Amino acid sequence: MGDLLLRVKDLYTHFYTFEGTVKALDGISLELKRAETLGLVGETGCGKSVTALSILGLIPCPPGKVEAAEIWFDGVDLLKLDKEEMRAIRGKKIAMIFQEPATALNPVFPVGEQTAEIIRIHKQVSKREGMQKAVEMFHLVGIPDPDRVSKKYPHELSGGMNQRVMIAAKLSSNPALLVADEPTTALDVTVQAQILQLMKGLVQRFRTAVIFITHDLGVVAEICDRVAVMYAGVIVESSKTRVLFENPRHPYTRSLLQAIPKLVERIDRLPVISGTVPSLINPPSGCRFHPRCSLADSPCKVEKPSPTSVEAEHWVSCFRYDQGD
Amino acid sequence: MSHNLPTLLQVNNLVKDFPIREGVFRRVAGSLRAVDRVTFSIDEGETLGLVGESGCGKTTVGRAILRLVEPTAGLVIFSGDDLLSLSPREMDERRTNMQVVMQDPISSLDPRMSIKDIVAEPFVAHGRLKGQALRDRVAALLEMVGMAPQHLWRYPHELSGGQRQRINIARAIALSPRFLVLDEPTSALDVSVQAQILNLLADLQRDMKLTYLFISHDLSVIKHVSHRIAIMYLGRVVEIGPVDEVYDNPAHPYTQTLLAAIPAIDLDRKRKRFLISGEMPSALTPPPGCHFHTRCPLVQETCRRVEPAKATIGKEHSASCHLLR
Amino acid sequence: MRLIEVLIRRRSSLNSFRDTHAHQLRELRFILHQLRRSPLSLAGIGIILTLVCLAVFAPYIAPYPGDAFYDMHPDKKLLAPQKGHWLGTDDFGRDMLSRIVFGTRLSLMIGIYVTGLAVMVGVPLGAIAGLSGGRLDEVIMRVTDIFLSFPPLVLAMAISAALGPNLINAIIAISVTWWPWYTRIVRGQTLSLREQPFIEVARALAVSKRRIVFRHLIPNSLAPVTVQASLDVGYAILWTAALSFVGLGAKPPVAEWGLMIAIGRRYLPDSWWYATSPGLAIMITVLGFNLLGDGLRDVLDPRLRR
Repeated sequence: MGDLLLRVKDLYTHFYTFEGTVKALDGISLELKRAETLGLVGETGCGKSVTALSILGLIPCPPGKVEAAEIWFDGVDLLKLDKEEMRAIRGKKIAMIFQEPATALNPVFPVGEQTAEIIRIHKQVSKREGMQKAVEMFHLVGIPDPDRVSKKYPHELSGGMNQRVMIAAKLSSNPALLVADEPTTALDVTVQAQILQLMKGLVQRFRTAVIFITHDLGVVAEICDRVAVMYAGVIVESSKTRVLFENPRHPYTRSLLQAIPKLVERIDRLPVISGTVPSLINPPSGCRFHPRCSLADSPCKVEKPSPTSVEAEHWVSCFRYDQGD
Repeated sequence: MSHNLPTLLQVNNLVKDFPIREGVFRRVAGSLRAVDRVTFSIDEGETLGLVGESGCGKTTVGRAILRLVEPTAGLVIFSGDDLLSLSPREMDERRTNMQVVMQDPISSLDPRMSIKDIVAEPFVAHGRLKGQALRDRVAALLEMVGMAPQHLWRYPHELSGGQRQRINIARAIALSPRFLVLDEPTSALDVSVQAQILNLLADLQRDMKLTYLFISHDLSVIKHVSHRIAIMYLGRVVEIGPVDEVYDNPAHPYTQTLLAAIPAIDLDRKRKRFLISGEMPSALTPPPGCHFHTRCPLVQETCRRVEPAKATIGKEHSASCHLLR
Repeated sequence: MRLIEVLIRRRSSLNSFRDTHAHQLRELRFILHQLRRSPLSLAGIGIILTLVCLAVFAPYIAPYPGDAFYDMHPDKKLLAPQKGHWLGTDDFGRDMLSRIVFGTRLSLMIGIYVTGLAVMVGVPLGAIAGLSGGRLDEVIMRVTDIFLSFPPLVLAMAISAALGPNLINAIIAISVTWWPWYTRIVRGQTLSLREQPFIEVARALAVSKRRIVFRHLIPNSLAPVTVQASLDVGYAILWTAALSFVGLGAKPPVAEWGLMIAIGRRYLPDSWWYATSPGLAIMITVLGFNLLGDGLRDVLDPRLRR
């Protein structure tokens, strides 16, 4: 287990709002090895971003409250750190990129200068050296004519180009973990394909572990080594990427995969999951998916299923995963 | 698909220029050609898919057909009427026959109106129904789109994304139109909700004999819903044809790259890795000749100078590329 | 048996009210929840409710209601605050407390009239300017610019002097200087709303321009207007008092706060209570409306919504 980078155990995040307590995460446990890319996938409101923010200590409290048995990162228990130490870790060892790169960049400074600034926070180098390093990084992330681009402002660059700048800036500190929250959702398919390709290459080269948050199972298939599928604040299934697509066991994963229109086969009606996503203020008892599940049985309504190993590195949180074939 | 059915909508050489204003006095300094001589037709009961990346002008095509923006030139013939020659008043009379559903379900609904008032608005605006008859009709429409009558008194922000889009659809079909422009109707929705909405749209098309112009950037969705598709790049239609033919036999290099770029979950799908570099140029400064030549892997000298003519590939299938002749 | 039926029916009709007004009830609960967390705006509401009670029940609260009008008591001239005359008496021997209580009535009415007039003129003009754009927009906005380029108090004084100095004309004069603010607010709102898809859908449905303005644009611009209006009621009261103070508003013997200060000023510093008590009344009122406005701004702030 010397290769382990991150271990989260029984993570519960709640938000105290006017409407009531939102039980956003209900016992999330996950592990991440060095240089591994984990896809965190699920629909809006399933808690995938909250999971990442909770790990990074970025949940504002109040109204939020994060509790966990353990958040172990590279030899440190993140739960025991104070704000200042946490900030240091976030800057140096963990980096984040978001869906809208333009909003994460400062509009009044050229992108090269901003990147150099970030580099200088971590490495004691002169302004000139910082700038040089920034241009180097730009070259690395495939920005054409990096010298010229480094003098441009974020609004002068396209979304894809800004995302490249973000990746360059964030990878410059050579972090052990990169959290990418829907980094390609706002981009066009052809540009998305370029960015995914780029990330794949860089991650291998720098041996960076990645938590890749997305709603797009196609993107997961493209870039992730392992996947965790989330539903209503719970990880319902996790496995190697290929295994998940070839042999999905949780009823939710199965329905989700079926609901995507396929390019190859042609069907008239898409199979749908009945009902809607439950409120997290009054989540269903037992298995949170049971009201929408075609296999649900009486224990599903009462007891919360814990992750069961189906095969090597493949866990399913379901009592009846072997029923549906 | 439906060759014996009459043509409902004929669009010929549609052009839309947006003026670019500059300076204190907002003088017109130039123009941006968002739609460049777009030609297609849609048969009654058919769905034409209009695909392209953001900024390619697909949304403007939909809005120009409905004269929500006034086209600069071209011909739009709807059910025998030349729409662009109509006075605003005459156009308003035709509007009952053609409606639109937009991408963002929440901002398409007036936040200060109850669902009842929103769905009743078409009838009130045209003075068609009143009192109990109106209430019954609105309740019936809600049922048609799969929503329970207790939602009548709710407000948009109290509904989920899928429910909001159902309300948008209910309002669009209220006056029993013959033609709907669906502008990315599922892009803002999760896959499982998207499946429900796509099924609903298919049911409505069958029951009400609707004709759709389905605009989307998502090639899997377009494949699922369309009979024929048109692919746009920087204001122009580069390829048009029956959906299966275009997907199996993409003729234009852009179509090929677009199809290759989709992150797909069918892991075994045979495909050539056909990544293109760069991004779509700005419509402010379109490249001469073929618009795609700046990114095309197969570019030749002619492509940089001469705009390619339409080449027929198969029955109803054509593309604009020099390599096809 | 029948009673039970009636009760059930009552209960079900109650339920249906709850269903049909669930949104409004929730909204109300949300507003109360927000207000509860801000003691200052609660204080503002408290002040205003007190003022409204004073105004409505003035004849019952004032110890000498007649003193607010034509009664005179030459024997009680300029008495210092004391038992029976808690705020003292004025130069005609009238009870100051009674006159201030009746002054509340007048001031609230003035505030509401001025703000109401300004809103009724300013809001539709702003919506029309924002929606139509082009030449009409230019004309409306340049006119508001002209109004806003005068120092407002000077303009109000000029208008009031031209119309003839009395209270009604003072109200009109102040309203005339006030509406352009609302036009500006609503035009700004309309410009951003105009691009909203729901307005475009309304156009696709051939909804008339008039309906778009009154059913969509104005209701959606009302949040900032409400905040501004609640602040403005206080300022309108202050300004009318100012006009009365310089002799361009209320005329004696009307119990108007500004006028009372103007006359009381002559008896300073010996009869300090004469000018001080209406001054305090104005201050508290303006403060109350300011606190309410700030509270409303927080409650109506869309960023607080999920």
